[in-house]
Amino acid sequence: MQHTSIWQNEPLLDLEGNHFVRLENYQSILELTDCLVRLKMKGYVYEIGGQNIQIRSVTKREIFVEGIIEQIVIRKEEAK
Amino acid sequence: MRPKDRAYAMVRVKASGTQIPRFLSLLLARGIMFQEAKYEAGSVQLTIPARQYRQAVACAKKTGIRLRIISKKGVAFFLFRHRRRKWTVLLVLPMLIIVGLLPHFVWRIDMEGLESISQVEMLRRLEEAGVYEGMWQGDLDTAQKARELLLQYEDLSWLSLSLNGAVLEVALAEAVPAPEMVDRQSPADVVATQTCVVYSMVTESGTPLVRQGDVVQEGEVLIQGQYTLVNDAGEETVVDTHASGQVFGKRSVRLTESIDRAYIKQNWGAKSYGGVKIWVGNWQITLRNPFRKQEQEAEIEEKSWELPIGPISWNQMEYIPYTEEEADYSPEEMESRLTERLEIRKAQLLAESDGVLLREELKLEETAEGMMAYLDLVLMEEIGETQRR
Repeated sequence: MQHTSIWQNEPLLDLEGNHFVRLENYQSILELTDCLVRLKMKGYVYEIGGQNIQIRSVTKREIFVEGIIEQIVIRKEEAK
Repeated sequence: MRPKDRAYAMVRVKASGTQIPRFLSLLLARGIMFQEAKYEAGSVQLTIPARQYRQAVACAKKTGIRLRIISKKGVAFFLFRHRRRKWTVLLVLPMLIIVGLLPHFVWRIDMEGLESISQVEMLRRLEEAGVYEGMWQGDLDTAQKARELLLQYEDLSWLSLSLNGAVLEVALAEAVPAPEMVDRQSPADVVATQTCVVYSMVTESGTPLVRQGDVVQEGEVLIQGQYTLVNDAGEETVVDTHASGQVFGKRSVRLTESIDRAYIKQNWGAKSYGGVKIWVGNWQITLRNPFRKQEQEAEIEEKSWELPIGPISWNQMEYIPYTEEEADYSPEEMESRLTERLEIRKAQLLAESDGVLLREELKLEETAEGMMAYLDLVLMEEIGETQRR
């Protein structure tokens, strides 16, 4: 599903239950372990924590994360 | 042979090293869309398209990652593994395609709810509507066909067609015929349905206008739906009524047949030859047929099996060859054949007209080409028909 909203390039997050997350407009992958995925978004860092976390698939705009999701944390990107 | 770029082929790789996130980001930056990336004991396993493997290796080198292939999946790798048995693969693949396609045909039609309509009749109706065993399921719009059949046949009150695998399930409810309403009240006359001579007549109500032996034209009034009442003062009053009665007419019919003396005679051979036909649904395959022309075909034996993929039957045939020669009929043979044809036509005529045969006379006339036969029949039929005024 591709959202064509007025917020072009703004991060967009869809959550299905606690097992599937779709993130739109990501920039890069910062970290990947079996209990955490950290993704760089525009001005923020999204942390998806849980168990058996894996990246199901990626496209140029979207990333699909699967697993038992226990927390989603959005942090402001620290200025370098 | 290397896996073709266009063919579906994926490789599962294990990436180990310290800069895994950088490696993944570099893959994305170079347009390598990976799948199923999972962290496992200090390394990450991911699936990438085989055609982008070399690019992925370059990314790994740049980020100091060690890349190792764990498994290969896809048609291209399958063909590569079996390249020495390509004929086996080439034979097996069409078979798999055929097996995959067969369930997409209608191989059986099951029916439910038949009472007065026979199964054969229902199958005929379905076939007329383009629904038959062996048809491609893609050509069948069940809802549309059910609507068409319901509109076409008044004896069906409800019909449902549904596909269950390769079986078409037909569920129906038959309509109860409405009783015929006979109007015996409104004024009506009895008129002649054909031109003939009145043979006998019984009037139940109304005034008869013709008598036995009269010649009547088609549409002429035989019994008028009116009668006259006369009171004590001699005044007449005309009263309308619903005329009824039985009027039988007599008519002559001439049936003509002819036959040519010369004909083509078939001389049958003493020896017969066997053949085999196989039916798969509505498709017929003739495996052995010794002749293509001038043969008589006869079915000797039939066997059929109901396989999971559909009905398959096998027919053993017998073929008898013949030769043709010109010959002439004798007068007795011509008479016999003409009489036989006229008897068939007479039986058809009597069945159609629902009449009684009063007299018949056969005349034969030999001509230069052969023979002509005339059968004169005198029929008695009911000719009265009620017509409302």
